[in-house]
Amino acid sequence: MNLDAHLDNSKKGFLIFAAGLVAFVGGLSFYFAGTAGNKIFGAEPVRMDILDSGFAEISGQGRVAGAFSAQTPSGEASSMPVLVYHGIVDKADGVNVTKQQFLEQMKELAAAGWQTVSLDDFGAFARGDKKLPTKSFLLTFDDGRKDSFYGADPVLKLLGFRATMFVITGSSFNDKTTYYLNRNELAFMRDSGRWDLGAHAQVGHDPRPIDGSGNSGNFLSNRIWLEQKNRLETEEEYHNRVATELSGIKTDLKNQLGVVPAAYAFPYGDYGVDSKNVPNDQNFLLAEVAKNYSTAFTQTRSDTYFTQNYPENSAFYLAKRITVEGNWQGKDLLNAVTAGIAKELPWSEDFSNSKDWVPTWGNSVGQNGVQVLSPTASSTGASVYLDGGNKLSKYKFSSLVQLKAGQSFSLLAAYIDDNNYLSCNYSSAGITINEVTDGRKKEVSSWWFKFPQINSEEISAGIELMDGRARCLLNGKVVLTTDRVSEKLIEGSVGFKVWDPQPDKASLIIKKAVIEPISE
Amino acid sequence: MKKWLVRFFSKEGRMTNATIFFLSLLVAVPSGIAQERGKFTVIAWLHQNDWDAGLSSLESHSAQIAEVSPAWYQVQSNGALKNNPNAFVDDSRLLNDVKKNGFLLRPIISNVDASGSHPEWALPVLTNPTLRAALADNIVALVEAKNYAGVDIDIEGLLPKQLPVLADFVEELSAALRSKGKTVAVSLEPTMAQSALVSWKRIGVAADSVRLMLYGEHRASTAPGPSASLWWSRLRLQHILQAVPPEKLTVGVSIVALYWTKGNYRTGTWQRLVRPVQANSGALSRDTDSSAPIVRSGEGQVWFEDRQSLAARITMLKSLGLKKVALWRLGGEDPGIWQALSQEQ
Repeated sequence: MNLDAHLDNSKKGFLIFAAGLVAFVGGLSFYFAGTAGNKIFGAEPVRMDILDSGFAEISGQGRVAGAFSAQTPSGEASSMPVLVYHGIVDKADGVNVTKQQFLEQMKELAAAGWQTVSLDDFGAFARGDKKLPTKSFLLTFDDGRKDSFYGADPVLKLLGFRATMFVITGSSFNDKTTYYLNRNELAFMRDSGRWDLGAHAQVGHDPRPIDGSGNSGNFLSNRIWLEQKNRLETEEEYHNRVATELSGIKTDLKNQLGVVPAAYAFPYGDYGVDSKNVPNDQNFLLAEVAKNYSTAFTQTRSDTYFTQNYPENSAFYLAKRITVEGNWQGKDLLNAVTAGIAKELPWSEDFSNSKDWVPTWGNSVGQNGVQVLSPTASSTGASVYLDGGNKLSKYKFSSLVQLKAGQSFSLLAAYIDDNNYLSCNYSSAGITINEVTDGRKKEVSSWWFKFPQINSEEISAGIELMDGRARCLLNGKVVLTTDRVSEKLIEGSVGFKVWDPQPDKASLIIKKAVIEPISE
Repeated sequence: MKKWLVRFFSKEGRMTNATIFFLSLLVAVPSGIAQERGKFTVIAWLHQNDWDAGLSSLESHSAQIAEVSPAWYQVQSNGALKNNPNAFVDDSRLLNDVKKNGFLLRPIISNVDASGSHPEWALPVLTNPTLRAALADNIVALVEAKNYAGVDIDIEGLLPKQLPVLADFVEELSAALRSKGKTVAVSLEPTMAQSALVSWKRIGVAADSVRLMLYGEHRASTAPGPSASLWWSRLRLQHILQAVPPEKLTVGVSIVALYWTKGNYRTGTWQRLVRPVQANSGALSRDTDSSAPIVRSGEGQVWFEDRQSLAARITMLKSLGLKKVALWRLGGEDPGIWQALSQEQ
């Protein structure tokens, strides 16, 4: 045994002793802190060996060049993206990201100058109480899984990042758990300075039976089937169960860890929108959540529009999250967080990277510097909207397009979602302005004339939006106006649509898109 | 043949039970057909002033309604078309109703706005063959682009002597639309002028249907009274029937409530003008001629159409062989009118 080896062994021995002491003292403190009716602390200690090896594994790859210097963000963020992960796994499983992917993804963001914020700062930003720098984002994990913590913590440490873990208390505070983070691990996270803890579920994470024939639905958004009583729970029973679940998570985290969670993440992002037997009860659920938490989180869904969160002057905030998919590379994630950044005017698109255009119908493909909208085999059209444009008002949206096939194309403005927007529609029969509010469409203005060149020529088309007025432009000239736009459609993003009565026929080539501010 | 006959009669020449049954079928089947022919067809006119109430009524009575004509487009003096300001053109709720119930959809193209009729929009077009052709072209393009079943042409404020150019236009438009499988209804204002008959006849031949807007007898400038008393209506119907065959004629019936008060007149719906008064006093009297109900509130009086008055009107229409009515306009009407119509459907 040489001296170095001896020293090494001494060090190890000391570390083991120190770790044991920490665990012992930690255990004692938990014992005393948690004596209020709780079982004696018996959870496995934090696996420092995994964390250390994780850190050793990635620290060898070096810190991100320039991550914290070359691209220091300047200015204040108008909007903020929130990411949600569920687990971080060793081997790709098609759903979760791997450790290696997660590292790459975070390094990509860090290299581009993005930095994480704490849960409290996000809440203050969302309610309009605090300004934060541009390129700030909130990193979150749902379910309180061990693999997330052990996979992510070394990366957070390496990059100086911070994350939020939404905990299922009924699982985490069950001493037998091997899949979910236990009390020791959550306490370690609480004290690490790298993690915030939030509420995800007490016992309400898994779907429940919602009728006598074996159908199931989400715990919070449905009245559940009471097997023993052979009936659906009453409305009162439903309301009481939801109230107990939501306050129970908070009580658990407070009693077990001394943490009072400010935020709640809806399991499956379902804040009543996926309800099967309590339709239109979103207001009840949100109000019940607001009694206990100041911020709630949902996640990417087919019915959510615009990926980022904008400050609102309200006591309670429902935040959107971008679900990071298992097959995303670092570049994909960077595209996802930058796509929705609030657009500032003038703004133009050359379609070299069309990440900002979100398809809601049909296909949207970028190729050779143009964007092509076309239907799927079964749809009659396609449409896209511009992410990050939701707060735009008083603008002229101009484009250069070619209707390669199909009956008509449209430029969208004041786009809030597929149920609320204005459009200028161009067809060989003329031009119309449509207004869609609450899913109901009507034509507010039209100009019928023969316009056969629509199918053969490049068309310069535009739409102007200003305080309840809209105008359609053709080759730079105003061709149609309306001053009777709904009050709902004062601001919103832009988009394109193409349509034909026959499925799988329409095709619109978009070559240029420019948004300029206009004044009275 | 003899053998065949014998089967149905007994030797004594009396009918067997089987024969009675068979003959009763012979009687019952044609009478069933006759009843089918007697079905009243209801066309619903819709206007933006009572839009959502109109759609609710349309949806509630969809089984009784065959066609909808919403007031959507205006003729412009250069032959172009424009959307009626504030109209709910192509409202997706109505388009869904049309699809779901199989209604015919023939929007109104008119020269009318909130201030009244504008012959000055229509005459420059109707009197100019080039502009007239352009207007017909524009209508064909519109109908094709929107895939409407056709249109309801409603050019108002023309003098009887100006009707020939309307007839010219209807002939040209009908030919153009018919070649695309589309149809034309023409809405006409009632008149007793003899000179109208020649043009009406041409319109009756060219158009797929003619809608006589049979109301306006009592209005802002007259004493209070029903929108169309029965004798006033009968005279005008007899007049137009000299030019337009009964199977092509639809009778426009006003279900709008008319409200006169000291020095003031306005129109509204039963829901807004009659119901609150009825709820207060319940006092209702009737016009002896038309059976039109009247409610009085202070110095004001409201004339409207209800189950009883519409039933009387229907009896009169049937006596003239008329079986189609168009209601101006759906929304907030006395629900009794649907009961009166259902008696004939």
